[in-house]
Amino acid sequence: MTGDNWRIQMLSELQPIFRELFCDERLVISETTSPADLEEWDSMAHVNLLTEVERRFGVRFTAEEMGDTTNVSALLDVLRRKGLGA
Amino acid sequence: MTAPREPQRQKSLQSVRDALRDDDGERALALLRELAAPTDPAVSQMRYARLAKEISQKLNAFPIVRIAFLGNATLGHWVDCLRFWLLLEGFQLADLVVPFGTWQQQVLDTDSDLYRFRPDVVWFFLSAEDLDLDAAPGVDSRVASRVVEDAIANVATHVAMVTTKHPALCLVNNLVPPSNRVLGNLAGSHADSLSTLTLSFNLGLSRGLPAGAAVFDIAHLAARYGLDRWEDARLWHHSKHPFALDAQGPVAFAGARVLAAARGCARKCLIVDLDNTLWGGVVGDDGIEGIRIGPDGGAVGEAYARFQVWIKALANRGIALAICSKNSEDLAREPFQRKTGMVLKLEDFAAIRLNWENKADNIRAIARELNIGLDSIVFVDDNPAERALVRAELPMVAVPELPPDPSDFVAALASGMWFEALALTTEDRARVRSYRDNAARAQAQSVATDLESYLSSLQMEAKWGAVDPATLARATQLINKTNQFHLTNKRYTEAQMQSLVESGQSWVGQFTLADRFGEHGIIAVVVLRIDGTQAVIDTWVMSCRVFTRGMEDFVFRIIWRIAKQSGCTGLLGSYVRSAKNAVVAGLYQRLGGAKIESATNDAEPWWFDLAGAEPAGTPHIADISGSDQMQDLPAFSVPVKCL
Repeated sequence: MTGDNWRIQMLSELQPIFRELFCDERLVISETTSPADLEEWDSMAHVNLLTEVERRFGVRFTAEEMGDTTNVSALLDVLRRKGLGA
Repeated sequence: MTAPREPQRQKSLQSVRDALRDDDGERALALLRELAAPTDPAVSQMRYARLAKEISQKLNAFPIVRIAFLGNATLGHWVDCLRFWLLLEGFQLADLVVPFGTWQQQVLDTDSDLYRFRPDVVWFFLSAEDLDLDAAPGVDSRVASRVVEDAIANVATHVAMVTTKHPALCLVNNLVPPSNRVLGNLAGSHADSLSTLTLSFNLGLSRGLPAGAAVFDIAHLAARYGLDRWEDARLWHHSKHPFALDAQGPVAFAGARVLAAARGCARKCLIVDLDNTLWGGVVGDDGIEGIRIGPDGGAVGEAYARFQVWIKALANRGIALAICSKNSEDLAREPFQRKTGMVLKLEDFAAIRLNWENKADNIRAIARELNIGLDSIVFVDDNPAERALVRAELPMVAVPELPPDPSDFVAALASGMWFEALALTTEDRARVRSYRDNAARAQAQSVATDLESYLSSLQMEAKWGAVDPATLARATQLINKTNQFHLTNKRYTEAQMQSLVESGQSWVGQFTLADRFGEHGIIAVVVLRIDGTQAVIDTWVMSCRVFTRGMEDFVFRIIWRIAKQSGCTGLLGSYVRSAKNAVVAGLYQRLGGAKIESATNDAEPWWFDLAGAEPAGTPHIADISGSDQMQDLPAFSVPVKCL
């Protein structure tokens, strides 16, 4: 899968996680989605998000990576680096 | 609370959301209570927390508890979790988490956010680092103790400052020992390892705290959860969470139970089934030889014995016990009396219900008997059908799931944390006895209530009339034979009785009683002397066979009527004390008489104003004499010298 296709695929897999976490069935995320776009995406929600992503994809973020994933795009970068879909 | 699989959980969560959409906060909460377990993962706890916030808005009747949290950790997540579990206890949470690194200032500054918040509870969420609890290895044990004392004093001082400025319950976390130890195994015995310092701190903490403070044993919760899982270094470094996210549920659940107990909402009574709950087997089928309890009963018997030991210990600390079992009385009591290996005794129980009735009805009856609310009760029964029935009929009663293996009964009951307390008082230990006393009182009362229906059921009928030749012998005999119910202790011969009858100055009457079991014959005799406007009860005897059936009231009403019919305005009765007639000492007083001064010492005169209301008699005895009795009264015309 090409990089872009992989990212599109991952976006579609992350979307239900976001929808559930933020209780919004109609939420649509994109590469640029960040805490600025979602009022409920505070530091607590961030930890929950990463915990859920860890659970669903079987990965574990380092403390540094937890801090680096400030928006969806950065999250995808980190996931890519961790070998998902490589 | 069984743990549903994920799709099932999603469906259940959806039904909670549906209930919310219908504005039915109570149903939403009930569904959520069914679904949620303290051990559910953090993600689920977060969902519960979010739903709790919505449900809170719909349920305004719940009392609010205001809690301020002091600490240097990120507590927001966990506080949301606590909010949910507190809601299940029936409380809404208003919370304040003081900013990072400010806990001492908040306590010292009388105008701080802490005091402005007016908390009901101030929760000290401090760590070993916050308290400078550390000592260099190699330092001697006296220095180590000093470090511990200083740390305790530090907390105690701040707690005291809070309680003097503002009346709040101070809840203070003890310290979780470290999972990773520099000294390794040696840490367990070395005086100044962090492990040992932590243990010493925890031991000294409750002694060191001022009154009005209580320890929250978070160290135990961490141990139960598992220290390795509890510590999450990554989470601590990233966002200063005090423990792993998945440990939030158990800590919040425990916190909610302890807080509810502080408000008096812990449960107070354990009702147990018998067969396969207190012993292995069914005593009605297997007989007393077949049931398994104690070492003779193998592994199963030992498991049940351990459960009984636990229950007995609950009773010793003040929890009332009751039995509710579908069994016959004799069979079910036998094991307690005769079976080796039994730990519990019948007298450990404040109430016992052994019958074939519906268990919900029995539990209601037990609650009434012990004078406690249904929400004070925990009911354990091995039978899932009985559990479901009681849960459905009595939602206020806690009915924990019991696992199939009795080895797990203690854990199943203990993990519910039903009987939390902030202190044990001597009253708690005395409570068991007072429950039993109350039960005895209530039983006496219920006997009295049953007495009413019992008396009614007797269908008693009384006949009365003047003593005549046919009844003279028996009437005389009764006067001479009776010792207990005899107001004046007089004795008359038949001749004297005959004279009285013929004198025209007395009414000598006899009363017979019959009930649905048969005739009692003549059971009361009265000699009523008429002295002008005053009637005097010269003699009143009654057979002890018919005590407390209302016959006294029946007879007295007739006496009254006759006295009045004879033109009297006053009625006088005397009580002459004897060695045997104490049973009637209070009779005239009970009938409404007024005690008057007496010239002699041995007689107690009581006076009744016949102008007053006629005595009520008794509803349980029908007068089948016929109205002609009153018309047949002799004419009393000549005044007679009174007694």
